[in-house]
Amino acid sequence: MRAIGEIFYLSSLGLPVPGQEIAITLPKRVLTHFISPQAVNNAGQLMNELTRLHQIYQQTDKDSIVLINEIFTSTTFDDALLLTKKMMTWLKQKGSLAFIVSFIDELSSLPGVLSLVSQLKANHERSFKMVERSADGNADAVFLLSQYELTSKQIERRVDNEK
Amino acid sequence: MKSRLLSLSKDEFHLSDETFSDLELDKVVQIMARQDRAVAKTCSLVLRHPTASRTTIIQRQHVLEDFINYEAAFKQLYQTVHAAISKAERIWGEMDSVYASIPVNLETATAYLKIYLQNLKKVQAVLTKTDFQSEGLIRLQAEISKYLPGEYAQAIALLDRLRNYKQLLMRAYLSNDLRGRDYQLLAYQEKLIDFHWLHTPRLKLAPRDDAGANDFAFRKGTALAPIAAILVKSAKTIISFYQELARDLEFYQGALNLYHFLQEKALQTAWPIVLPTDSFRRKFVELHNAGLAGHATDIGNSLDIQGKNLYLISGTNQGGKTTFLKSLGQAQVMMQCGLFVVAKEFQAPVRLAILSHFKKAEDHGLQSGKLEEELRRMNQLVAQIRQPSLFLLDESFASTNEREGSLINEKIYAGLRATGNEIVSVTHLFSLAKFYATDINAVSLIASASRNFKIFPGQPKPTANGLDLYRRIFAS
Repeated sequence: MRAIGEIFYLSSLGLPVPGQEIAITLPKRVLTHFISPQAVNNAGQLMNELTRLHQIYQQTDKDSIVLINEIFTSTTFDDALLLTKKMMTWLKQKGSLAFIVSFIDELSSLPGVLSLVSQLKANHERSFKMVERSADGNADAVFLLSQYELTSKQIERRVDNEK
Repeated sequence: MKSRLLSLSKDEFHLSDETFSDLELDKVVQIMARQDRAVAKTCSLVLRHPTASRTTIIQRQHVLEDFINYEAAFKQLYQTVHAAISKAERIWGEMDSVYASIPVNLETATAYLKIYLQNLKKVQAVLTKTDFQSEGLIRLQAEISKYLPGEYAQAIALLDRLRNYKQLLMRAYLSNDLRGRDYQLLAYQEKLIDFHWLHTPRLKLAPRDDAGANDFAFRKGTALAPIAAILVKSAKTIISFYQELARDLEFYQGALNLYHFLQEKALQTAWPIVLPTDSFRRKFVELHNAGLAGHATDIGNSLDIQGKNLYLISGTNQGGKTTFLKSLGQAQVMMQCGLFVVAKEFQAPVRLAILSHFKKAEDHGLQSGKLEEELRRMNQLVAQIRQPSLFLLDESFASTNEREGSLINEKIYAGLRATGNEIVSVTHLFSLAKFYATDINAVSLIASASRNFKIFPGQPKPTANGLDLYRRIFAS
């Protein structure tokens, strides 16, 4: 996400950017939402996020790039889905190009959305590579667990072997 | 001869250092120890090795109950046993048979035996005059009576003579090659010695006759060897008995210290009812966290559950969920060590392993590795499963987003439950709690501010209404 933001920003300044081949439309502004999770106060965090989001709502238009990093992580899943959808609605209405990092798989199949999923290497380290495909958190979770021998079948097999 | 006030069977399992500190059992040990390092060491050792044997647990409970009821007698026992050990520490010598130092072995063995036998008589006196009811103490009394020689006074006198001999009477035979064989020490009888002395040719050893001195030592050693062997074995038996007994008593001393501490804080204790391993029943009334006892934030919890293998605890942060989880873990360990628990009533099944997976301190530098670290830890715990095990989880896999965290928890629980284990999990992941709402083998508990942060059965409700907040902010 940061890489994308930097590319748009530096390009607008007329500077070269890292990459082999890049073609973008220059934005008038780059708006970001990168609030990191607070340790304790969930209600406080949501307030902060919505306040910042409102600022973005007021400033954004068809010439803006919006970068949203992991928003609504402090609320329940249902609330996060609902609020994110509301946000995507007005982003679309305003014509902005938006990049959203989210754990909500359902969003990836909405119309007008391009889905990119981060990959893990074989040794379950992040590969930092994004691949265009639909999001399936369930399959990802199962894959991750299998790396650590923690799927249901694996646990049953291990415990049976101990007997 | 064995003390066995603590252990009857080898059904002990090891509690990991991590689980020990997760459950704050070090605080419990601190209370038990009351600054005594030996007691601290023993209690720590015992608490790290809970037993899975119901018989052992119940036996220990009865012994402890006896000591609580007859604390004066316990004090006497404790002091007597430790007095013998301190006295014995001042003995200088060794008992491991190197042939040439048999007289040293003998002297050392007799020194130990004299101290311990005299002390054992005192221990026996305390045991016989107190009306102990527990099988453990009655058996100890029987063991001691069996060991103590019938003719006690003569035995002590014999030991004294063996230590302070000025003369030894031996018998030997000449073998075919004119060597001595079958050296045998004879009983010392004063009159006989004089008789033999009158009629026996003498050989005086020249002052610097080393070879001669060695030869004499060799013959003396040969005669003394069988006796020394028996006495050394006897001494070693009684030494190890005393070490075991002292260690056992140190544990009970710790238990008594804990008992008095809790009484001072006006907290009730109860003898847990120990259910068999195939049970999934848990009942307790006013269970408290032993480490926090009497602290302002300490609250008592009650629960009566049957037939569930998954307990999900959700609710407001700082709501006492983790404290409750710890109190449950502590009580399980304490029960399986034969102690009382801090509650008015307590029933729980025996578990063959107690495994914890608690949130570790935030390390912002390692954000990306945190989930992996948690998975790795869980992997290690699975390797330690012995069905049925008790899993205690505190905010597991909360280091990732709610979706992934819930999925990971759900899938792991499925595996653990399918292999017969019991899980108690504290979580703030709302989706996770919702997932088990209709699971008949799971129970959902919540801690809420409106009820003083006590744990009650119930479904969690989302705390802040995100939509309301959104409307408020975007309306302006």
